[in-house]
Amino acid sequence: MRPSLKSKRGQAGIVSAIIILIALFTFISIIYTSYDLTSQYEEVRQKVSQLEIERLEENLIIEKIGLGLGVIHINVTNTGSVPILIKYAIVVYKEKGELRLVTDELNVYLNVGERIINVKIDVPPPPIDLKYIILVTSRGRSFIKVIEAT
Amino acid sequence: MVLRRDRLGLSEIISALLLTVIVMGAMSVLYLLMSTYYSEHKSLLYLTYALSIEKVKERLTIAYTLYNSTGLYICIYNYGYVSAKIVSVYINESLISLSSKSLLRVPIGKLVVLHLNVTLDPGIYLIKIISDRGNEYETFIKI
Repeated sequence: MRPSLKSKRGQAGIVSAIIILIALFTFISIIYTSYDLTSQYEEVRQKVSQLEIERLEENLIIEKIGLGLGVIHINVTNTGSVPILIKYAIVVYKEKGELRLVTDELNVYLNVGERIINVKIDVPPPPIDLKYIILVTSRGRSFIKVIEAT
Repeated sequence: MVLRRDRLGLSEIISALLLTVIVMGAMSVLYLLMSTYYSEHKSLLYLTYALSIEKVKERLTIAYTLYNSTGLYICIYNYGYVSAKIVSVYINESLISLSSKSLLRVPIGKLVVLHLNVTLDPGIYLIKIISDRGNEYETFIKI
């Protein structure tokens, strides 16, 4: 006995509903994933852009350099519009007619407009012929002070 | 074949049920295949994005370069949000081979000095360092 067509009515409806549901689920998942990833990426980009802007707003004045026994004393003033953390000092000096460098970790924090005197930088023991002092901030800016010959 | 009167219509119910079970089974298999395929691509997509995000987060700067008779010294500072690794250095577009020992890792907020044993004639040189994420940082040095 052949099944009547009447009994198969509704099957196509179920199949199409399932197909539509799967398609809808996939589509929504793709949209959600894309949105999630794009927003994460944008968030990072904004954070980095903010860092770059603040980096440009940094300004530092290095003054009054005094040389002690294995130490250099400097005065620094934050003339920028953001607080500054001086992370490192690179000291370039001349020894036996050749330029050499030494680095020292400082971690000196300066608020906007603040001036700190007698910041100590460790250097090789004297006599050293100082040439430059480069201060590196936490945002990666370098400020150089050329030491004039005395 | 003679069907008994009390069994009339039974085959129609069985066939309908069978068809429904077959359709549901086929759909489940299809769904499983699709979700596996999709999740694989999704993780690949996440990985690609994660790499792009890390590339943006990586920030290095060449704070200072110095040349003397012992070679070239490059002071590299990491002000980004991820640690970085220097994989190659170019001087005027010439690749300077780095030994595995001198492959340089630059942690976040740290200054490291890369020493290259090279001899340079007087002139102006373009120093370019490349990280493992493909970012390039460059500076000039006058000798």
